[in-house]
Amino acid sequence: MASLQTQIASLFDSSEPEVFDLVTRVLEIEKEFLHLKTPHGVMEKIEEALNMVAQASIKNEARS
Amino acid sequence: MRIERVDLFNFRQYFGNQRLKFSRHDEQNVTIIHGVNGAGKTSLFLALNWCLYGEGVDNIGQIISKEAVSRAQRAEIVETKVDVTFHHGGKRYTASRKLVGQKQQNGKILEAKTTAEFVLMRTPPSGVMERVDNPIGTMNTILPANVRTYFFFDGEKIDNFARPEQAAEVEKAIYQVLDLETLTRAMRHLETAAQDLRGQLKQISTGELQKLVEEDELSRTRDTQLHERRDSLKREHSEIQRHLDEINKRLRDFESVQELQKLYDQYTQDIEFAQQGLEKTIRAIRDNVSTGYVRFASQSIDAALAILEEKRQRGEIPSNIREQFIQDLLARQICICGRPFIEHDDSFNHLMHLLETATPTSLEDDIMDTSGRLRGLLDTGNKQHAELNTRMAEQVDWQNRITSLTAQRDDVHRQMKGTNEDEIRGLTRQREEFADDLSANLVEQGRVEADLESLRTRIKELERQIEQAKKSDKRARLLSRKVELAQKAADKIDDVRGTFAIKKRMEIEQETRRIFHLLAWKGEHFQDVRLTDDYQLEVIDRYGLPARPELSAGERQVLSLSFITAMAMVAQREAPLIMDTPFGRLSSAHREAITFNLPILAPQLVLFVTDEELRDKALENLKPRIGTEYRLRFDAGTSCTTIEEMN
Repeated sequence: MASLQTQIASLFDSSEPEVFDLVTRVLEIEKEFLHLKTPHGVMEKIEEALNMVAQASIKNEARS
Repeated sequence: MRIERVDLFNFRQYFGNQRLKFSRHDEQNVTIIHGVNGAGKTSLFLALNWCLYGEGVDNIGQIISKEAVSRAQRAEIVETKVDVTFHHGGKRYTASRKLVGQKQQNGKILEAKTTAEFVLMRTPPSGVMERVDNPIGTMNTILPANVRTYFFFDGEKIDNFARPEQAAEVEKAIYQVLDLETLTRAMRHLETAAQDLRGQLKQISTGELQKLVEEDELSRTRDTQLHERRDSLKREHSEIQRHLDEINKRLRDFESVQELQKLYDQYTQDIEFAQQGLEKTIRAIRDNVSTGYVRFASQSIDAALAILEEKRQRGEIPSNIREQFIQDLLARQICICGRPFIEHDDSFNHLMHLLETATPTSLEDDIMDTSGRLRGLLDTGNKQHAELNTRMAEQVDWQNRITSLTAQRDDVHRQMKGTNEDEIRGLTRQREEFADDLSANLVEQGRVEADLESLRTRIKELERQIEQAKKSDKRARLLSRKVELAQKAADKIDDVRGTFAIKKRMEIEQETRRIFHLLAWKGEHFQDVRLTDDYQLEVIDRYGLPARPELSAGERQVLSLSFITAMAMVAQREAPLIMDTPFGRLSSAHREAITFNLPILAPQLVLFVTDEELRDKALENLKPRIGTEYRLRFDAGTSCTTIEEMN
C-alpha cells in the first residue's frame, strides 16, 4: 500500500494543476508549523505560496 | 523511525555515561528493560521524551544527577545530556539535548542557559554526517510531538480511548496520527487568506481605470480640436492684418490725410513696441514669482539667525575656548602666562578638563557656515523682493503707455474718419471694422490658449492617474486570482478531508476489531468492535449489545492498545511502540495474548517492565522475539542506577 503522504497527495490528483500546486505547497508549510500551538508566521508563508502560484497562473494564461 | 540507542550523561540517577541499545532486528524486534519500582524506568522514558521533544523538564535541577552535583566543586560547571540515535527513511539521525549549570555556594545548580540546546545530526546512507538546520521541524516531520504520545506511553494509563466520554480524544488521535490535522489547518488557513484577500480586492477595484481612459480619450480629442481652432484663428489674424495693412497703405496715398496716416502709423508702431515691453515685463514677473520662493522663508531664516545669535551671546556656541587652542598649549606645555607645566600637574589637569568641554573645531565651523548660508539666503530673498517691486511698477507703466497711445491713435483715426472724401471715410470705416475683428480674434486666441493650457495640465494628471490605476488593476487581477485559488484549494481540502477521514475511520475500525480479537482473551464473547460516526469506540457482545460499560480496566487497556496499534498500521507510521509498565493491570491471559501478538504488530517494541508483570508464559512468548535485554540495577549506597545488559 502507498504511504500515507502519497495517499493524501493522490486525493488531489484530479484538481486543476494550480490548485494541486498550491495544496502541495500549503501542506508542506503546515507540516513545518504543526508542532506549534500558535503557528506565528504560517499565514505569511501561505501568502508567499499563494502569490507564487497565482503569478505563475496569470503568466501561463497570458502565454496560451 | 527505529531507535538504535540512547546515551545518558548525568541524567537523574544515571551518573556518568550510560548506554542502552535497542534492537532494530525485524524478527527479534523486542527490547526489554527490567527494573523494580524506583529503579529508573520512568526516568528512561522521560529521557527519551525530553531529548526528542524537549518535554517534561522545566529546569536542570529536575534532571541532573545528584551524584554529579555532589561531586562537583563550588562554581564548577556541570551538565546533563541525552543522545538518541535512530534511523528513519534510510538515514541515521542523532538527536542531542543538554542542559548546563554551575554549582552554587548553597550546593544548588544554577542553569547557564534558559533553553536546552537541541541538536539533530543526520547521516545519509553513504554520506557524511551533517547538522540539520531546522531540528524541531525535522523531528516533527519524522514523528510529530502530538503524535508520539500514541507511541510512547504509560501502559497503565492508556485505557482512555475506551471510555465513553473520550470520543473527542479518539477523533483527535485519528486526525493527528493520520495527518488529517495538517489538512484541517491548511483548509482553515487558506479560508482565512481568501477572506483577507477579498477585503483587499474590494478596496482597490472600482472600475476607475475605465473611467480615466474614457476621459483621457475625450480630452485628447478636445486638445486636437483646440489646436485646429488656434491655427485657424492665427490664419484669420494674418488675413485681418493683411487687410489692415492694405487699408493703411491706400490711406497713405491720399494727400489730404497723409500726415494723419503717418501719425497713425507711428502710434501703431509705438503701441506694438509698448506691447512687446509689457510682455517682456510680465515674463520677468512670472520668473521672479516661480523662483523667488526664498523670500517666503525670510521670517524663518530671521528666527533661525536670532536663535544662533542668542546662543552665541550666551557662550553656548562657539565655546569660549577653542579645541585647537587648548591642544596647542598642551603640545607646547607652556601656559598663556608663559609658565611651563608638566604632565599631570594642576595646570595640565585643568587644560585637560577644558579640552573635554571645548566645542570641536568642526562643529564650530559648521555653525559659522550655517549662519553664513542663512544670511546669503536672506540677501537673495531681499533682492528678489526688490526686483519684483520694480517689475510691477514697470508693468503699470507699460499698461498706462499703451492706453495713452491707443487713445491718441483713436483720436487720429476719428479725425481721418471725419474727412469729406467718401473713399477715405469708407476706408477708415473698414479699418475700424477690421480692427474690431482683430481685437475679437486676439481675445478668442487668448481663450483658446487658456483652454489648451488647462487641458494639457489635465491630460498630464490623467496620464499619472492612469498609470496608477493600471498598477492597481494589475494588482486587482493578481488578488482576484489569489482569492480564487485559495478558495478552490480550501474547498478541495474540505471535500477530500471528509472522504478521507471516513475511509480511514473504517480502516481503523477494521484493524482495531482484528487486533482486539487477537489480544482479548474473551474473543468469542466480544463479537464486534465498532468505531462509530461520532468516534465512539464500541465493543459489541454476543447478544449484539454494547458491552463497553462492562469492560474491566484490563479489557479497556487492551481495547485502547488495539486502537493505537490499528492507527499506527493504517497510518503506516514506522514508529517504535514504547510502553512503560504495560502489563501491570492485566491478567495472565491478556499478558500472554499481548506478548504473543504485539511483536508481530509493531516494527519495534520496547517494554519497561517489573519482573512481576513479565514472567511465566508471557516471558516465554517474548523470548524468541527479544533482541536486547537490560536490567536497571539501583545501588542504595550511591542512589545511582547502572544499566546492565543481560545475556
